[in-house]
Amino acid sequence: MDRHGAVGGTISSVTAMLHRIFDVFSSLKLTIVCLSLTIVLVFAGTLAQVDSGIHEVQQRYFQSLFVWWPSASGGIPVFPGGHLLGAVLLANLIAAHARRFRWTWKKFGIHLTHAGLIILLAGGLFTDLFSVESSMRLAPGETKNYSEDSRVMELVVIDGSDSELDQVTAIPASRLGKGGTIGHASLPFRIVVRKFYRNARVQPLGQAGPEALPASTEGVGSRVAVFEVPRATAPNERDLPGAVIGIEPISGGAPSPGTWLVSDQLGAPQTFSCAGKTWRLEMRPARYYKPYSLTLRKFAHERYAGTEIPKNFASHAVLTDPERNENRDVLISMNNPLRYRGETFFQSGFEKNDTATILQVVHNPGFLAPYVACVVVGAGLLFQFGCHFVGFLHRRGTSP
Amino acid sequence: MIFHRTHLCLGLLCVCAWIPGCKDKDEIKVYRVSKPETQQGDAPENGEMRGQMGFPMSADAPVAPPSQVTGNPPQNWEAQPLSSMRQASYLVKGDNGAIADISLVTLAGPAGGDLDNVNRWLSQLGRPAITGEQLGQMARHVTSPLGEVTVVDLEGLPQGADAAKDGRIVAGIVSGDSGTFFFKMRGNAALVESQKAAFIQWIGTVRLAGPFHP
Repeated sequence: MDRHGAVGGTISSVTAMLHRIFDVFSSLKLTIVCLSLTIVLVFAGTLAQVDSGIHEVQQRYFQSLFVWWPSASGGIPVFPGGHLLGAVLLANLIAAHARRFRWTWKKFGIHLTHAGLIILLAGGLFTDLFSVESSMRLAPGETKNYSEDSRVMELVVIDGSDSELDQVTAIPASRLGKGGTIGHASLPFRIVVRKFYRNARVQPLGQAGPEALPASTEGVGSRVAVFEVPRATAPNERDLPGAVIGIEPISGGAPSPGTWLVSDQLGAPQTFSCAGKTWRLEMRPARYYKPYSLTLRKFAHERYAGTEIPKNFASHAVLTDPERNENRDVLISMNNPLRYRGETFFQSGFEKNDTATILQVVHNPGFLAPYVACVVVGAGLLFQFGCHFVGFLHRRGTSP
Repeated sequence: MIFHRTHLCLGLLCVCAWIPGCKDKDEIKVYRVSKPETQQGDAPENGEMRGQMGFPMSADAPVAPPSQVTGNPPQNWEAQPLSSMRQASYLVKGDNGAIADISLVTLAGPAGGDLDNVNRWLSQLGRPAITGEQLGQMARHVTSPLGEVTVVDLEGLPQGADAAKDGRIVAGIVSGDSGTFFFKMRGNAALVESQKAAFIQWIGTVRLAGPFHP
């Protein structure tokens, strides 16, 4: 009997705790606190752009759970980040709506409006987390089945021993930035990060001063020096990360291929041998491969007469998709993107002398959310105000 | 009723908290892709470094400048897309899947000098480095509109390499006020041998198309 009483007491205390949590998450005070913190976050993030640049600020302040203060031990969370505030606001909205929800036709418009806001917030969070923006640069005649994100670098280790396919092991540069040893089942060796540079410049030893040392023992790095430089902050600049890595075979007794410098500035892969295979090593912009390809036939660039001001630019390309038996001409121009397989190709830019076109490739699985949210909110407001308006007219008609 | 709503909302809260944390930015990915037609992996030219070293590189800056040279390649060379440093790029195919990749790469400044670059090519073929004296004995010189080109013919198959696509490099270097030009043909040894005369003839025809900006 006592045991039943203890169990009952535990259940009631858990229930009371859940109720308290529910009270907190459904309170209007939490909404006010979150909105206030959001204002502070936006203000601080705007100021931080002076020193850190817009892309760094986006990641540190808005696309994170916390804003971290850098410290020797790795960092201290000092403020809630955009993702945390967005998630709490979303939960708060859902909780408040669920708590106060009473089904009546009279409040149908308000329910609909709130549902639209929930879709908008959830869609924003979903887009922020899962959308991918990259670019595809194509010279006339060139074919590509991948796009690249020049702001996200990756170290690729390529096993080219197969006659048909290359096996690519892609390690994000952010993983290299954490240092330590990196291993993977696809690699017969471990990669030891000796030094990582968030933004590096490479110079031939002959030009780097008398005290400069080779960056690595092997490859291009043995003939160049590498220097850390301040992070890029201008909108049209980007960091060029680099790393000095050691290759350590897993099987004992095998000779070590030494240390290598990897950097986007080297421009082409370096090769080394390990476990009886030749491996290619390259730091490059992250690639997103697609099951289809685009071939640029022609790039057209019209200017306003007598000026160099662009009037219109368009890419005439061929879309080839073996899986879907697609092989057709496509035109991508300003305000006329190509939408295919969940990706949208926008005409983004071109290179000097029109030698290549640059397409922005956007994969956004939540792209419909804002449209749906606007329609739902609009319908809700229309219904609510319509009801009030009809009621007003009715009262006016029946009043003496 | 409110108890059920509490559960529902706490569940939704957990989902909201979980979603932002479920994206692993440090995930290592492994995938298989078709081999590029050209031997993109075989030529980490010394200082085939993107952008001007020592200066910030604009994300919007051209990745591949327009070709600033002209020349008369043989008809059997298939033109390939230009990349960031390649002013000219060709692929030539032989029998039994043999291929050779031909490129013209340009760099600012002396780009390391002749000996360092020849030794780098030798290391790509798994061969030991040579001295300046040995280079003097093995090099020949070809006159071109860009200046006198130092041409070397190197042979060797690196460990694990495919003999149909590798085994020999014929390359030329010429430095001048406009920078350093690297002519290179690398591929199947027999195919490179058969194309060597055409390659050297092509070197003799390459000239600047206008003001050069390496």
